[in-house]
Amino acid sequence: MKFKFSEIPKYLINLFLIFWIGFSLFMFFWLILSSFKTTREIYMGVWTMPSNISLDNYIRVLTDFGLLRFMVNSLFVVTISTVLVLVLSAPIAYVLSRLKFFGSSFISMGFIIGIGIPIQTIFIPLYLMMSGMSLTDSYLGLIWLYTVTSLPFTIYLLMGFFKTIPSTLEDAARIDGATATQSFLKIMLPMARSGLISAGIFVFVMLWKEFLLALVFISTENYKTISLGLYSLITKLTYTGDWGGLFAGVVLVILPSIIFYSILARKFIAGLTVGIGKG
Amino acid sequence: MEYRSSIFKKRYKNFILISTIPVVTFYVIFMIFPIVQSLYYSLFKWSGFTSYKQYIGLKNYIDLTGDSLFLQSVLNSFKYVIFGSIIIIAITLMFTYVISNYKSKKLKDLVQMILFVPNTISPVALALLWGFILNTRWGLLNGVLDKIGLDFLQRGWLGNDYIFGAALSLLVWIHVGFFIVMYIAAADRIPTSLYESAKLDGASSWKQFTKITIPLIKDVIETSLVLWTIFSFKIFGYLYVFGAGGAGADAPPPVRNISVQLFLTAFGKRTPINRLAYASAMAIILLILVAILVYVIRNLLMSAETIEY
Repeated sequence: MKFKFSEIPKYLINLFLIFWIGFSLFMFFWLILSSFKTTREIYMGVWTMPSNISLDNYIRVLTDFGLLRFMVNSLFVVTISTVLVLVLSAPIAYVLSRLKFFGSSFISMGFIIGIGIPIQTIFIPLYLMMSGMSLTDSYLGLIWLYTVTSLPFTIYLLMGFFKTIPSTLEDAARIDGATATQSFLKIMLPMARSGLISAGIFVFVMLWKEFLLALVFISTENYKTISLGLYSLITKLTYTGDWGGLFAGVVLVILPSIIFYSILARKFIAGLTVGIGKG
Repeated sequence: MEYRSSIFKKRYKNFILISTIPVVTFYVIFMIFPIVQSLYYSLFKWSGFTSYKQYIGLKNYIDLTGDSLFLQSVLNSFKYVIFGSIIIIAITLMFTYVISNYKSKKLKDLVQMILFVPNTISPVALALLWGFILNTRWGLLNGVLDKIGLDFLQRGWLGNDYIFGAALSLLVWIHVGFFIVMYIAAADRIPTSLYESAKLDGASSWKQFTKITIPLIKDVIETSLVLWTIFSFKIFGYLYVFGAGGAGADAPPPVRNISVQLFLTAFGKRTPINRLAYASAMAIILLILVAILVYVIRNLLMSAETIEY
């Protein structure tokens, strides 16, 4: 490549980008390395190597401090919520994106506004409502909240996706006398499969890392999710000065997310940008 | 195709009713109605956990104007909006410039995916990680500075002087990866013919970027500004956990945005204030501020002409 004076900004920014990514990777490498250190070794500084590679830190946080339990809780709550969100969102998104009826644009608008509602503005009434129904500190309560708070964005995402699917097949089916249920189940759902999967992955990842609702609505160890569980480890582990354990805890929370994401990244990004592609 | 014919309408009616009514009801009861309830609670003196509840009109709102911790959290939220948007949008634009010029589609995808990773990870884990890096005694940053002979730059990053910038740097690191995906998707939809004719005219890649790409992704830049404004007010986990500095204490006032202050007022464990009605007033202020800001930003930017291509 020939050096061009006018391309200097490009070289500089590329350098910055490489530094940015390099720093991120280095940070992660350091995190993993440190998770094998004892607390004493961590205090000895960044450049000390762990004296022996042992899984003590990991085993301690997974079992004694219950991180495994928190993971299972999250997996349970988040999987059910994701399925529920999709089941509830797909038909309404289909109807709102395809048919005009009384109030349809009003409802669409209502969901779009809902995306911008900060949870903080509603969690106090929700807390009182949920504790009135004895649904705080329960799987059901958390699934309930996760489902309803994910609805607006999922519906918005799926509406954008359904709009990209041409309606010729449905028109043909309609002329042949298919009912709405039939054309939704037999034509739309199969065609929308990749969109539904993208939306599902997106909802799953967002709920997996959710923290605020869990913090407000869950206080017993039994029901803690992964984020909340890691948060509760902070107090326990720093109280005893167990930084090694805390490093291992962070790795255990980050690593599965990265693995899951790197397998499904393409679908994930497709889900996120479905509305942007068409301008 | 518009479905005006009455036969179609009738055939679709049941499906429309079944798919919309339950979801809309569920949504209104658990997301819209609580806003009204927050407004109602905010007019009372009430801890939320006792039956003692006294109507006091707007007194909570008047008290908020003299609550220095709350005012600081409002100011901080604005600081996150302003500094965050400038830094994040500048960096994201720079990265869009180089990444959208990559010839290889694979490389383009890979870089975006790596930058996006922090957005898929629990905020608690990221806040802890950032705390580890900036730890004064054994953190990575001070360790690296020491190693490369820049030890005079070492600071107590988690002390009150630097903690706002430290928290902001965490948010920047995460959200550049979020917005880059939007920017690149938008840049990719620009027809290549525009660039080809610019190239024929001898325009440099920088010129092409500023004269073609930026004007044509303006709508996405605007969306990112609106989103960042909302985020600045509602971001919670990163700030709440990062501010605790790994010790599980309450986040110190310099990092708190309205969300953190609101949570601590309503449910804070260390200082059990438990003023649910007072916190409800904060919630209403939060909602109003977000709504006004989004409205203002949209109008400011919308007024500039839109470009068709």
